[in-house]
Amino acid sequence: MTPRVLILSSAYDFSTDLVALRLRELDVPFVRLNREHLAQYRLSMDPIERTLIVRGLGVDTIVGPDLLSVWFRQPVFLRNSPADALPPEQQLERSQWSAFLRALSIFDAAFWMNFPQATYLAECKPYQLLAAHRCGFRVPRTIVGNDAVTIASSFNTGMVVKSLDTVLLRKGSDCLFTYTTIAEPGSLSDEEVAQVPLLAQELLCSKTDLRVTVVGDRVFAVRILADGRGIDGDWRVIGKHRLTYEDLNLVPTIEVACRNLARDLRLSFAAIDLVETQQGIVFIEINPTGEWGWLSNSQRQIDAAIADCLSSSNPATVVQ
Amino acid sequence: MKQHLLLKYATQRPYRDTPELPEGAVYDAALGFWTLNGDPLVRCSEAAAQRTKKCDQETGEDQKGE
Repeated sequence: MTPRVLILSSAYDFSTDLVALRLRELDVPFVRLNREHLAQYRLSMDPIERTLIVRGLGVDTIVGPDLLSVWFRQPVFLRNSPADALPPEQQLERSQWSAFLRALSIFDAAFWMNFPQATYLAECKPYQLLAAHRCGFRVPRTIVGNDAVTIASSFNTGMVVKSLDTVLLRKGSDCLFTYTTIAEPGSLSDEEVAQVPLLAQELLCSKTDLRVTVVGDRVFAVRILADGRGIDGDWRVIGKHRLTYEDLNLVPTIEVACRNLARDLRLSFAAIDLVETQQGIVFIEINPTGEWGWLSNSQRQIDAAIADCLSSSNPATVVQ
Repeated sequence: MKQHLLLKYATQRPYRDTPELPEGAVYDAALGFWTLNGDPLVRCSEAAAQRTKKCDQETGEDQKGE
């Protein structure tokens, strides 16, 4: 039998290994193509017949005739610019292989986790907030822009700033990454803000972070704690050894809102960040390609849920 | 001139384009996963799984496929 599942991933995405092993246990034929290895294969796509011939690296198969699902663990746009200009060959490689991966949308009769078009829209943070609001979530007051005066006057009681899109920049041999940061509205100056837009939100104090992972019709929710307590600011700056993940049963209204948000954004997989405050649960963001390997264990089998979803002949959520 | 807030607050660390892997780890394209001495890498030990599940806690979510 030709592959039932097509996995588009990267070589060092080890969460993909977990799902690959689950598919193998389920005896579901699959082929995994990693972004870094594409040039080592010989690939031939027929967009009308909707087939992809894959030859090389010990693989010789045709994707299409029996294809049930596609797991798209890829960015939908090139996000980060290198510090120095890339040689033409590398620029060509980046742009054209990315286009090739997006072109696999020809398999639109298969179940996707997630369809690139849906991921593209869902990556937009302001749109996420609107969609979450429409689904009944409380969302933080938010201003997106580069006007320091408006931002400062909007958040008298404290604010956080974050990038409008992921900032992962190269600077020589280093990389720069931005976290959500608590900032003082009164000290904002025009020259610190005007050059590029940012996203400013009301500061939520005494919060506990929640991560909700939606896989088809399954929902996994945890509280993220450091030394047994909620974390002020961005939990990702806390050392892993101090973090614990406590399973949580969401109240029905929040669980329904999570499902509805994923459905409305046409996502069969979503990693949703919420915070628990004294005023209730507040939506922070949704990540259509979010990580989950750090949460998966024998009690919380997210890998098995993804494999089940990809190999099911009657997927719970057909999205595209 | 003051730096933009997003640069001012950015964390700087050495760039790595590949994670640290246990010696002997090999990617098997036909199998579709990494192996170590013939066994799946992510199942070899809890330590290996933890090291490999999320190669970079801070940025892993945002650099898939880049």
